[in-house]
Amino acid sequence: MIVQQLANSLALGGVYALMALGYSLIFGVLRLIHFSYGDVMVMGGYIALTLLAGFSHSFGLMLAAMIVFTTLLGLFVERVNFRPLRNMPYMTSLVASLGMSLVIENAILLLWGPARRPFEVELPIPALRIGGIQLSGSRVLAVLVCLLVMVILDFLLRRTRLGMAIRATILDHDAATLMGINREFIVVSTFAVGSALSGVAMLLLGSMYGVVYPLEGYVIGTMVFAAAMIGGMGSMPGAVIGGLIIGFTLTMSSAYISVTYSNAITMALLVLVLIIKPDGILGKRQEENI
Amino acid sequence: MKFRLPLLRQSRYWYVALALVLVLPALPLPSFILRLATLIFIYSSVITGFNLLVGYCGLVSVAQAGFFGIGAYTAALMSIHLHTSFLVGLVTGTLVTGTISALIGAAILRLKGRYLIMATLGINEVINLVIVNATFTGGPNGLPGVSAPSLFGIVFSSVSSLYYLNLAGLVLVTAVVALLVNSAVGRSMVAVREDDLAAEAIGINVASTKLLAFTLTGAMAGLAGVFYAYNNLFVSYQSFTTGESFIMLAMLVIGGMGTLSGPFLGVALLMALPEVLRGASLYRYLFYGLALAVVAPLWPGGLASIRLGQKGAAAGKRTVGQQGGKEA
Repeated sequence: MIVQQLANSLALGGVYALMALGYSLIFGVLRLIHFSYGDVMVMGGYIALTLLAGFSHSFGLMLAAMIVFTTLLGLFVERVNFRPLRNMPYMTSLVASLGMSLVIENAILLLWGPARRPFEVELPIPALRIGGIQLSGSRVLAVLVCLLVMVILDFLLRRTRLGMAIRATILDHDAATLMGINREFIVVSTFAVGSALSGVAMLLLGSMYGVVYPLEGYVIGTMVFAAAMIGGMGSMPGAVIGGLIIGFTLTMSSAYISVTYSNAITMALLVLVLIIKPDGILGKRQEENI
Repeated sequence: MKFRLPLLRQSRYWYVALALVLVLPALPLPSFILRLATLIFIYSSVITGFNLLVGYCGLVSVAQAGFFGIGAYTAALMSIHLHTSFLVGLVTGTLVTGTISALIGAAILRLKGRYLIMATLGINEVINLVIVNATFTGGPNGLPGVSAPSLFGIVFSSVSSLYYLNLAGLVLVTAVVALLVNSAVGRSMVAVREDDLAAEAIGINVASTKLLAFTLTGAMAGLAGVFYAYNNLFVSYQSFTTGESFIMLAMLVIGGMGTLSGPFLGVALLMALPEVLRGASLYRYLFYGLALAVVAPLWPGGLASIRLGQKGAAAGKRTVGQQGGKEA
């Protein structure tokens, strides 16, 4: 039983780690909270599902569609919700980002209605049984895809010019700009990468849960935020650790304590981590005035 | 900072507005307008208290709806099970919420900026999930059966009597905040907001100033929550979610942080406009979202920074957000 739950939490945690990576990248580059991250992901999922409905549910096609639509939406949000506010006070961009999240959630509600929507996808691999552990195909796939994407992301960030520029910008915006790095281009590419990661996560989450619903973005977004925060904002290994911790806490508290309280327990854990180590497990020292 | 009565300064339009507020129940209006105005008073009280923390002390929290809920549920539970009077409920609700927020504040106030936002978000989630899942709160069905408020032998059951009761509540909260921000305590809060290191250097105890602002804001949210419970005679978790906290922050930012009239303006705009634009219930939150995403960037100082009949008085210049701009 406990090994089974550990395996389940590894799959869920991997997906949260993917999203936390995207979130943490965007945060690192902009130093702003992207409140509509989860909503962009869910709306991208809805669009992809609607366009592919009755056409094909093959995994590869769904994956491509999810990535394309979350990326386009993410870039749209960057253009209308972040770029015009680049030199605005912190509170203003915070509130505007909150507003965007409300707009997207309600756009989903108006366009697709409040009902849960079945998330159909043909999985390329069957369920797996090792010893007493039963892993559904979607969970096996989640673990494999997450590992693959993390390897690709690691390569992108460490070995390519773009990745190095992104990391330089996260480290120190001003110095990076002085070295001739085009900040606007880095912001746009980071939004593209971060949103694409959420597209992958949407497909994995959808295939695990079998449904998607309009306010999922809010719930998931909060958890991803918590994952990135617990790991340490702007730190890539931190995001992975944070995602795994969130997946573990959610799975274990639903299995052994109470399904209804699992979100509350996770949020309480977040508050606890923040009190003990405000910068998260692998975060750098915070520099804020108030 | 000279003491100036809120709502009465600079522009005579305010006299007209005040007179209108006082005689509104006497006008031949449909009763839903009075009910809406009453709700605007209650939410203005919450936001006025919230303004002390966010607008004057510069600490951003998104747990205000949670504290509002603690006050409302305390009063509702006492009225239903112990049959206590309105006044007892009011005092207890305020004290209980103030105590809880003091304890929470003591634990989380060394966090700054977005870390504090995140911690308060977690706290609001926990409060709301407890309300939804516990049995003593009636769970998702809420708590009906709060008895009508009575004060000094007068029972407030008609729409217009509730209107005046909640107006009195708003006046009370506004007076407390107005006196506070013009006192030494209020000025130390503004000093902490502008530069906490400099504030520390001139002898202000930053930690206790922040804790005081957090506690008082929580207590005022609790007080407004009691008014809310006695106005609706029913409490339900939906009014106290983190989403509601976001909307409260929106009301404050759109109205104008760090100003006394801002909270009322923001609440009035965000609550009245969806009603005016009919068929609104479906588009209500979409409207809130657009207001946030569009109005906030256009007027960073909020509605209170727009002066009727005066030119060039950009009061919004000195709001909290300004100093945070440099970190981006």
